[in-house]
Amino acid sequence: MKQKWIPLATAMLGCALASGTVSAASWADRVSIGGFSSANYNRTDNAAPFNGDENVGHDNQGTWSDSRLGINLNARINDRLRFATQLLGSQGEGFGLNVDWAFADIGVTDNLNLRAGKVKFPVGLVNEYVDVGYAMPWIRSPVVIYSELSSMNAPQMTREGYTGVSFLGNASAGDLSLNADLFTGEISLAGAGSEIDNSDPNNPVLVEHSGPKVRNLVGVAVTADWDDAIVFKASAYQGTMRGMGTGSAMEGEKHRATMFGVKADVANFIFYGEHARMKMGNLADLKATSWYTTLGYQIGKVLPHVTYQSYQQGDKGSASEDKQSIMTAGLRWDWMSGVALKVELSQIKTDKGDGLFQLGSNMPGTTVNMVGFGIDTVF
Amino acid sequence: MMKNSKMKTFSFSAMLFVAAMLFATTAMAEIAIIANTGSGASELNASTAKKLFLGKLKSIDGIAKVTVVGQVDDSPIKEEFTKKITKKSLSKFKAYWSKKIFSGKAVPPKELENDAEVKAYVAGHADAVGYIDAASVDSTVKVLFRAP
Repeated sequence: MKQKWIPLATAMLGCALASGTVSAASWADRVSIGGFSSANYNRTDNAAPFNGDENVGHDNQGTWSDSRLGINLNARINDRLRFATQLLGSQGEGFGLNVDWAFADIGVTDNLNLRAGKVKFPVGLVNEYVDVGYAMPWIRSPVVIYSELSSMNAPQMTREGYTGVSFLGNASAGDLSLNADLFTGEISLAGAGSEIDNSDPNNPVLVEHSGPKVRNLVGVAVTADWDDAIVFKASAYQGTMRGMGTGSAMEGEKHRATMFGVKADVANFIFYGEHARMKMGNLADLKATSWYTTLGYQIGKVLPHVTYQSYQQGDKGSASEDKQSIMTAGLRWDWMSGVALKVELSQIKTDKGDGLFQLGSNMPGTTVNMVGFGIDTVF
Repeated sequence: MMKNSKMKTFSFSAMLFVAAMLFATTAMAEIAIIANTGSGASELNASTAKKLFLGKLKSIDGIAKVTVVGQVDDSPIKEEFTKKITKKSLSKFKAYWSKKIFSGKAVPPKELENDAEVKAYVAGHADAVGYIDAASVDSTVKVLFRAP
């Protein structure tokens, strides 16, 4: 695919370098380094791996696979141009640091920024900081939308960044702030993944994906923020699946998702609610509807909260339907500056299919309990 | 009678202690938002001060591109600042900035050790705005806003 955005981004970069004013501030003032970490342990009472394969999924052996480390670097070149990058490593990948995102941010005006490079996917309430446990009440973001599973029985909303360009506009009136992010590019999906080719019902074949990508990606995310107390976010994107491998039903299909979410932090009450619908062309087995809601009450440095998650994939009543719900009671304790301790108890009920358990685990009718604790830091 | 007298003395001492604590807290708590004496900025209101330190404003009247200067978490007034200016606890203030920084949408404000360092920085940078304990204000900086 020709990256049509590259000439535009290059021209804007040149303008920003030429027109920006280099402040008298020293490099020490213009460069900043920070980071975050999460050490999370999860254990279920079932051998079937949940939210991952046998290497990283949570099972009755217990796993630290949700643990991660991020390093963030910002360099302000002049008053119009900034380079930013974030390296991310996870226990599931041996803590080898990968580029989570890296882009140039060009301030076209005070209210419009152009970003070019690998940019964090802006769809959903929390996806842009999905790996930063400290920024959230939960140990992990709700898996019915923000799962890391790459197999077919998973929400197909990506957590990966896209390579492309973003126009980020903002406006405010009183305590109301509005942001709109229009983006285009492509996504290289993490993990090869696999699917079962059922085109011959008598001879189902496992298809290994070669190098999956979402190409011709276009999307928009709009956020309305009232004094950071109430936040609404609506987002949608569309792309074409490529590199799925010979025999893949997904190859060439249009992948679409729409999401609506609200977050409120009012009078010590914390509320999150989000709904997502995902489609993969006309493949009935891969259309999914997910939603969750969280309610918490801040008592000093302690935040007790409950979350209900619902996940449904495939046509209702069909043999291939997945239906699962997760009820979680959790506690966040802001132990000291920049350090939060968390504990959660979850009950995962699978009505149909395997839900977010590893494909083929034969989970219909089961209830699995999971306990997790974590330490999140920012530095 | 003796017991009653001791009780009264204890109650009075306790009231004095509580009053002293309240007074001490109030006396330490006034936050001053400061700018360079040579800048064109003159006054901020509470809403503008909040937006500035939450990264929602890049400019104010008199300063086209503000360089916001904060203080480290264990400075004596950081928690007072987050409560009085941003209306957030320190942990929520940090979580708020974590979302902005680690999503790539903002650069964290420069953080200095104490009032003296903030004053010196603001006095030396025409576009800087910071906060200090109001008791530390002197002629090297100008006050844009006070939060008692």
